[in-house]
Amino acid sequence: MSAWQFVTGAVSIGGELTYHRLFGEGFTANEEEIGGGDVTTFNAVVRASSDEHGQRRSRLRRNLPSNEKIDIWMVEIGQAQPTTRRRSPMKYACLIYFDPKKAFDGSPEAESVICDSMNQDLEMRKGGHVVYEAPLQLPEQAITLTVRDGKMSTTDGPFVEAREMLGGIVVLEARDLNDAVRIAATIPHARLGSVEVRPFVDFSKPRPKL
Amino acid sequence: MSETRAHLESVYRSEARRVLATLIRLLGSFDAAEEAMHEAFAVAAEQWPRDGVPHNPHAWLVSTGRFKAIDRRRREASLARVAPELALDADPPRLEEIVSRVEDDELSLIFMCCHPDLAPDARIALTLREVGGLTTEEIARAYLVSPPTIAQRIVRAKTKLRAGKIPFEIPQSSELTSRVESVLQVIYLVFNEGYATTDAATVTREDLCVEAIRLARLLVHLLDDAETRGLLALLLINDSRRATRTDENGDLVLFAVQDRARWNQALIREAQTHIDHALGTHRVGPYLLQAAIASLQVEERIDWTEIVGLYDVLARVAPSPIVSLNRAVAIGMRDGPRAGLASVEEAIAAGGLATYHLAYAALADMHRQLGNGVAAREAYERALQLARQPAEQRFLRARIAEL
Repeated sequence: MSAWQFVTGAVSIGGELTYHRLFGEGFTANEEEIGGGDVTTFNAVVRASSDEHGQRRSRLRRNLPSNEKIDIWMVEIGQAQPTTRRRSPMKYACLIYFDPKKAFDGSPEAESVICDSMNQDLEMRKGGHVVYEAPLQLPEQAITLTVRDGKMSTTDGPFVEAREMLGGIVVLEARDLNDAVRIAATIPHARLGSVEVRPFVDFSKPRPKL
Repeated sequence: MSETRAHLESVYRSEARRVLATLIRLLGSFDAAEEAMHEAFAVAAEQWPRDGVPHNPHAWLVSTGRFKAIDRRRREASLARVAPELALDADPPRLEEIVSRVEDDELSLIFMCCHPDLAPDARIALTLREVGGLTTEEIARAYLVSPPTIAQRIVRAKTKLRAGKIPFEIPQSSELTSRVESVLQVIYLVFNEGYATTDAATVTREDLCVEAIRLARLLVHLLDDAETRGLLALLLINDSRRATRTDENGDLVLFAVQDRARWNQALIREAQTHIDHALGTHRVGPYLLQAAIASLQVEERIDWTEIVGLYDVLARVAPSPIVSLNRAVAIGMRDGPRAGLASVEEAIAAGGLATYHLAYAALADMHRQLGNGVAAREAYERALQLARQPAEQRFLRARIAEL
């Protein structure tokens, strides 16, 4: 067998090493670091027979500095597939806005949204996407506070004139933004108001410069 | 337990896009198929650790996804008292049928994502996400735009798919050639986007090259056709030189002085195999010709006569200002700078190159070789005004300074 093969593996190394250097030609790898930077996983497509692959693996061991602690796992060897790495799901907040006058006016449309919300909660939970959800009371029940120069002051409300208010929050886990949008589109209140899908902050990225 | 989980992960990697493709055919709806695929994997995560991994995970996921979709649709239909929209009436597919049609399904998905009725930007985003399995955020990072921009393109493209105007099928032979062309163009654009940039965010952009080659390999596997092999070969040869195109400062290294020892010979050999095979079919198209030209250029001794000959054919098959320019440069290599200058001037005069910086860089280079300092400087400065890449700008400035 000398077809292209798909290899997934992980290697734990002490120093900085690149797979291109270790495996040589015919080897492409996507490395991603996990853990404290000393464990690297890789996906690779190699053109090699199983035997040849074994040799490459032992070559990898030989090429490493002898004082490094090394461990290699080959998780999978199979026919090459044009496939993709699976990422850990990302978190998104769906901020649900609607006009309370419309949502609670007792119209058949509003009633069906409220009724579907009850069922849909169950649906979304079953689908395994929902991390957390929080329907919110009206803004009149809220209190708004600020702290300035160490002093706190509060006001009731907000009693905003704006038609739309933040009526609830759903936190989702999704593969990507489009996946989050697909799930958020099933939120019934999207039919009455709007849903803003906002990614959680990724602290591995630099802070935005504005 | 963790072994099963690792197995599930690897099945997701290898099967998710194929499961999606088959479910689109069975359910007749992209959205429903996507939802069903996620549900099938959710069920697998629950059941496989308990009951073991099924004998044929792909078929199991397809059947489970289909069942979930039917279940969901029935429930929704009874709630809303409407007739189900999905293609549910057909009998459940048999195992052999799922297995035997998976490659056709995969190919249909590619044709759907690259359909000419979709905007070019949308084709690229959709193909990378639905066929390549990249996330919206990764595509955005690679194209240096914000995730919502890519997300919108995908949402709009899917709205178009939903409207049902874009079929999920392998095109009829009468339109197959033009539809394949559209797919090849998407792959080519993805590769170029990754290849053309040598500056910031290099790593993620290289991913685009890797992804394009992966897509081209898949397409060769699914649809053995001369132009597809030509495109794959072209990408492989370009990719074989990627590491030598810039030096450690990110500055451009001219082809002639690149470190040949660092070219990836395995990729070049693989490309050569595809070129030989494709030339054997005697169906010569633009990608195959470009691949053949590229393969001659990475040989130890470059046969410029042969290259000019191939450009002549290319200029007939797929005439374009850029082909004329490249042909002119090849003539310069074959016959010397005087002949080269005449050909480059002719190519520029023919039009279509007024804003193309490399046309003026080529013109400048011919003047420089002929010792026409003033004309060379003028042309380099024109090229510099038009160049967008910082690495190219640095290169042109260095050339001007050398004059």
